[in-house]
Amino acid sequence: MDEIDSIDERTIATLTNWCGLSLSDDRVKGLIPAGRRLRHAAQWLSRLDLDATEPACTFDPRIAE
Amino acid sequence: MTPDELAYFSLDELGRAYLTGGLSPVEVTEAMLARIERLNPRINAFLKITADEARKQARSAETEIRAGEWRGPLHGVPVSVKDLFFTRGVETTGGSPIYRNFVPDFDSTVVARLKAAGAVLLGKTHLHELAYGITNDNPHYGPCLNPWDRTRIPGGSSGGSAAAVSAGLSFASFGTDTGGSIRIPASYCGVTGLKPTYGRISRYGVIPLSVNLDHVGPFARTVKDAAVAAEIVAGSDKNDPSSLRAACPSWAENLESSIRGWRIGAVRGAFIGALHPEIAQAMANAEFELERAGAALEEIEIPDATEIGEIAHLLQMADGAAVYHRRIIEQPEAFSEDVRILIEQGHLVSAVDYINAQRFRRQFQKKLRALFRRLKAMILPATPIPAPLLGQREIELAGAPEDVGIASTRLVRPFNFAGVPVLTVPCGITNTGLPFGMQIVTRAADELTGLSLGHVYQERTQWHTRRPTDCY
Repeated sequence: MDEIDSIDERTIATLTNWCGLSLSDDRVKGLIPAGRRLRHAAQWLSRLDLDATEPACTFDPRIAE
Repeated sequence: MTPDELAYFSLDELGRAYLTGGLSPVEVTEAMLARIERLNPRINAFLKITADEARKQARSAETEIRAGEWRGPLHGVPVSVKDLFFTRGVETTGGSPIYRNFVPDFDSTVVARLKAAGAVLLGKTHLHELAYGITNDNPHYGPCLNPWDRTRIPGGSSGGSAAAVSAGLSFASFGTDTGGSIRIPASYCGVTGLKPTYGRISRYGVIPLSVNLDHVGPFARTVKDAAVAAEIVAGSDKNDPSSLRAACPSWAENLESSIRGWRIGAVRGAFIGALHPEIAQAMANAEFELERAGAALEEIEIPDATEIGEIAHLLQMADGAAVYHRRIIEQPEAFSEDVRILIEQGHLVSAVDYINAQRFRRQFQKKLRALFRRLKAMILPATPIPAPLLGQREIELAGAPEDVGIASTRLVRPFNFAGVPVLTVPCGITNTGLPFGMQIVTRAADELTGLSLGHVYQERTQWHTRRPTDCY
């Protein structure tokens, strides 16, 4: 469980809520490095100075226009 | 002229030979099918060979050309597409068992435009399962092998297309690039590859991975051939909501022959990280060559260098999870472990992070636009290493271990995030005989500048003319 403890609560919640994965499932263990990398990316994003006017566009198909 | 020499003709040479009657599409198609029969068992570049259909298309092209109805530079030219593109009446597997026996009842826009141009479709090329990986070590269809060294990977996910062009099994081939899947195999197989601007080539009828990052583009042996192949399928498509509305210029006809006075940024610093020493030396040589051609080189750094890749990967993982969400729940056993884990990882991305990644994407695009206000182009290696061994998980660079997947993607993925066009051209070969490539990055919707720079580079160097010796 040391490894499980090393990932954040949100990731554990996602793993267990999504598709009913159990913390003892080998598939969860395989996802721990991913959880860490994503947490790092998320932490970096949270520190960004995203201008309040920056559009929260989830899909901008015509970036060149 | 031997069939082996014929297989490495340029599109220009082939077109001239067709128009003067020196060669016929049927003759060339038969020669290519014979080469595929001989060489494909060695490298597994094609998942499916559509010989009967190719012969029919070749006969039709031959009749039309003889009647003076030449459709253009791909008329009667044998080409191939990654097995991710829908082909009417031909199985399209995506390299996965979940699409096995899937036979589309319509053509992807790329295939439809190739057919309209009179191209001869030789078959469907090998790919990493669902285009989600860089090794092309596909457990369902066997690995595709690098024509330069069959103990090594061709790179992926469009590895079959790159291997086919490198081995002289196709005059051009089309692939997709979500996190480097055209540029990585172009580098590892020593061919030219173009990831155009996001939306420049339609994705209609292409099995998706990431709606935000998927790009379609060609492989060829020269920049000029890549320009010809790309412009035939490029342009607005009402069936693809991400398709660029801007008119697509003729790239091949407008390639510039001089880069005198062009300001070019040579990327340095944290973005580049550790490089194989022979690649570092080859990049220095390429910079010197461009300076000799009259360009002004300037050392530059790309902002947010070490984080862009992770943020782009975050988007890709969430997008991929959305595409395969139902399948991964219902049929997890249908995915190989590496792909299944990536899709499962995508479920770990929160909506807040996803949206902020999109907002950051716009910031990054603005920062790149600012760089391009003073630069015509940027250059950097396509991959920090040459092709790894099949099954290799780690490489050592500058005395430190690095994951092969991360090493292969870290110099290419950020430009999917930005959506800007990137050309990859061969720029060297290691002492052990492995090729590698250089990326030329330009501002959005300006493929012509990158293609012109690549064309000038190829006029002054010979790397793109080198062939894997095992394919003669």
